[in-house]
Amino acid sequence: MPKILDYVEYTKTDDGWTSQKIHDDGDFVMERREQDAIDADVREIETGARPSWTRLGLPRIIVNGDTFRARDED
Amino acid sequence: MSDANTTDAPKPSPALLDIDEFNRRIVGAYNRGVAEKELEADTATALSVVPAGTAVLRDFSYIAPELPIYDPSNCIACMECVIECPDTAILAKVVHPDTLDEETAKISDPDVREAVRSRFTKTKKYWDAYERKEEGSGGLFGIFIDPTKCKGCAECVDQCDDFALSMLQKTDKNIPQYRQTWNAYENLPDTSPDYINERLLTDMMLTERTLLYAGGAGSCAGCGEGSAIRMMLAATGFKHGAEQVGIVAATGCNTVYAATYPYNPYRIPWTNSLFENAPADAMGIRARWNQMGWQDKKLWVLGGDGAMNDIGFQSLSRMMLSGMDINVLVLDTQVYSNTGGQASTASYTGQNTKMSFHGTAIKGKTEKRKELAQICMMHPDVYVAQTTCADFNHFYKAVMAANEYPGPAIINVYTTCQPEHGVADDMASAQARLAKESRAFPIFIHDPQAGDLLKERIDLRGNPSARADWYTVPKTGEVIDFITFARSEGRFAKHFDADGNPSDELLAAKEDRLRNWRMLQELAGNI
Repeated sequence: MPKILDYVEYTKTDDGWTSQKIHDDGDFVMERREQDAIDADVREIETGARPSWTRLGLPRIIVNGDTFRARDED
Repeated sequence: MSDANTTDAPKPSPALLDIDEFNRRIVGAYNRGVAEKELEADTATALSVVPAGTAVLRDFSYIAPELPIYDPSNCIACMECVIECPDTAILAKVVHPDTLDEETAKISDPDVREAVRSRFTKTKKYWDAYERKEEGSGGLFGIFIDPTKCKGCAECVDQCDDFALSMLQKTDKNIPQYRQTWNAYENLPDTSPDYINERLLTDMMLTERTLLYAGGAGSCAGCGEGSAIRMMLAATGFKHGAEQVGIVAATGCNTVYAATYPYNPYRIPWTNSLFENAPADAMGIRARWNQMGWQDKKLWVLGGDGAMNDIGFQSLSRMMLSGMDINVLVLDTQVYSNTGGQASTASYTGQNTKMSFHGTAIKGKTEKRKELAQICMMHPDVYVAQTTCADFNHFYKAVMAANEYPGPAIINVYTTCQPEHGVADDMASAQARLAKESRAFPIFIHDPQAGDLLKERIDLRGNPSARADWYTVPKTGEVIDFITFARSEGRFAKHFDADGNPSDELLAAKEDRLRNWRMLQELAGNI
């Protein structure tokens, strides 16, 4: 059970934003539970910045199916 | 002619070791990989003395391809990741927001400052509960990872039921980030006593006084022994203080990974004599300490099942009869792990080991397992616990009680050995829990002060369905027996045919485990 994080996914739905952590080539998914935290992450993404918790480690981020790159990333 | 008043006057004895010089010259040479070429034979080396805690200078960041990433929004501050880490590589603090503002303002690099701040979160335990009592008193909880100590075992990820931890690929970019954030974490003040409930054993791991086992030991990734030693020292250090603890280690894995010159993970006095005589060695130390008026100091003996069940068994028995106030932590891996996996008397029937190979004629170990804890409790007035690190409350209570007990105390702890058991690096706790649930390794306490009758002194609480033969999982109806346990470990793999049916030998091992469990039930008055 390696649980190696592939990417963090943010998806806009009719009920608001959701977020999941995708592991092991998609075989294992961790749901992110705190809606306030997800919404705060999205606000940061909308300003072109990484969600603060991902700035340490720099995991790949996918927003609505597209790879997200922060302003200061290559 | 020399002046007698100057040149012939007694000179002060040189210090045993110049610690700064040792750390710089000797540890530095080992860290650079040039010790053999550059270090001359000298007094420091000849003494075989190593200063306390030198292993903090060791860097394991090159070992594993991944390290944990922490998602604060999912964290509930259960502390299980911190408790179970065998390498002191993941730690936590609780800080008041004002303190965090004040301390992070001192960090000049804005990225590091933000990285430190983003580790902290509001949890029910340290924020909501405190704010309900008094507005403005809540603390922020944060988890930090030391990339130089983490071996990538992922035990912390396995422990986390709240999906707050994952493993993440190391990169040239994120490793320096982790180092800087860890260094900043170390400069944060210790968790305030305001956030420590001394009756909650999980809280104690928030304090620096529990860090008597510093990490940087050379144990395998995920080693169950590392967690056991670390947890024992955390509980002892928290209650009694680092100045009040000493260790006598019996030769084995624990002396190899914790005494690979010049790296010492212990921040307390530690000594090693031989494989077979650690309890006798401890008797001498105890006697001398008592002469010096140090009766309150806690003396712990560490040893594996090879040292305590087999080679040093008579020494252990003699020590127990002495009545001396000495505690023993037996790291029961059910095999001689250090020498390559030979059978010990603690190995299970059917176990495939180097001295009991599973082959055509002989199907693994033919003898039954020796139950050391049960033998120990038949010595008069000895406190005995058999426990696992997965049952950390049971483990901590046993350690606290052993420290309070005014005589010999033995704690036999199940310690997963990944290479010899044939399990994954992140399975130390999971396998220990399954060993308990399957009656392979029942947990119990024998407290001589609890009553006159054996059934009053033996407590089987902590075992699931303690009055039944086997544990049945309520939700699924699955019966957890020794076959369930054996099926999950490589050391028993050859006992299953292509259809998964167990061998006759393994069924005999299951019967042996049931008989052992029923004897404990009988002794405890449960049947």
